[in-house]
Amino acid sequence: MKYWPLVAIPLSWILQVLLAARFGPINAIPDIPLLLAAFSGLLMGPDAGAATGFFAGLLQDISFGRYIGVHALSRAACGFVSGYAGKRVLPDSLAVPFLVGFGATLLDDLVSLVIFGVAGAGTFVLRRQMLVLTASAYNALLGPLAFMLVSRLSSGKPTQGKM
Amino acid sequence: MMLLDRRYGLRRLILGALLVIAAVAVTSLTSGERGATTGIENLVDDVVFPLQAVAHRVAQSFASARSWFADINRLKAENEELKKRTSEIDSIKVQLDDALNENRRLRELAGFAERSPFAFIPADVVGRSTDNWFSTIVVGRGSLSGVEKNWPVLSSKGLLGRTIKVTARTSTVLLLLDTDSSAGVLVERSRDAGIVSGGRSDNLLKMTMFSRDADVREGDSVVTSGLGSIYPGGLLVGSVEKVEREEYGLIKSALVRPASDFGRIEEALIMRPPAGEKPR
Repeated sequence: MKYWPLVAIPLSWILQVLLAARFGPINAIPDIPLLLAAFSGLLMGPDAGAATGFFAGLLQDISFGRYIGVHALSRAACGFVSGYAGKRVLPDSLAVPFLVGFGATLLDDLVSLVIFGVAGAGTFVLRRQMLVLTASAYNALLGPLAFMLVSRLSSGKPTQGKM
Repeated sequence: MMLLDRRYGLRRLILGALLVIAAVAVTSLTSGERGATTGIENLVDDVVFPLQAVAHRVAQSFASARSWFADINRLKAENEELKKRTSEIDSIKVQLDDALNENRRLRELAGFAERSPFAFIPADVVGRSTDNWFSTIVVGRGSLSGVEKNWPVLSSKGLLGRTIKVTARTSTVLLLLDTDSSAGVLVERSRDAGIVSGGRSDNLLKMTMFSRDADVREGDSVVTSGLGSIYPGGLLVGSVEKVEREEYGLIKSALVRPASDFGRIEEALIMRPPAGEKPR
């Protein structure tokens, strides 16, 4: 089970593709690779979270074919920050999976926005506030499930997180 | 021990910084128009497309079964109504056939060649962008069906967008609603020109007129102008929802409600440009 992210990363992306197809092109959607990155970080530490997030995001970038690198970096940041927060900031509470799901979405959006800006890639402004909030709510609701799955996959032993 | 920790921390910092720089550079390089798709992208597409197609078919079967049960009473009433209308349409069709025949004869007389420069490739919508940043859909036709980049894509009601990435079996369509989308347009009634662009949170299009004195009214139909290199003229984009009056502004703008319902796109028509005309 040591190398479970090698399976979980492509699987999360395939799930995301299938999930996205069920939502219209203008609606907010939950983000499975992001949840994988955030909870990998929370349960396995910042380095593992960053690495999982990077490759999960890179796969998503390649499948889209433009702006390659944005998701790789934003998900890596989410994995790293949730790992860091899991070690030092987050309290031992049942609300943590919800908070991580919600917070990771906002952070992912913020980091993406910065990268788009730095890379001079288009004029992205906070044009989809409602989409971001809805996606954050979806991810918060899916947080406990993602937490359980990642916890189970990583041998059920939260190695560095506080949970 | 502390030195080791510090070294490890420094190495991690350098690696992180290199990754950030590399990612930003690649993002910048891949932000504009790209040429052909890479082998990796084609491989990714080959993995995903069968799954998308199956998911699409399963979802469609569920949707049709559900609507069949729900709509059975409505369908009965509709059937009666349609029977009545069929007889009316039959008589109209006779008149229409006459008019078409007359038109054909007159064209031949005037020496006009049949003008049908566009061909359409019908395609099922099998997916969408997997994130909340881009407004794109994926259709189940690609280069194997002859599709190329920057071909216009329509719904039965109006313009949807253009193809931005074509793999063997699928094409990604950038919708008009996306921040990166824009199209040259005309107000059909007054023939005043402008540009529509996406990126709004209310899913309307912003139309910026070239002239401050442009004659735009609410309800006006907006069609493509044909001035750009991608969209031919005359494709319905939508109708003017609101004219924004800026008394001292240099430009005039309006909000356009798209003719296509972007929330419910199931099929699309990819428009093949006439032979000899290559897209950008």
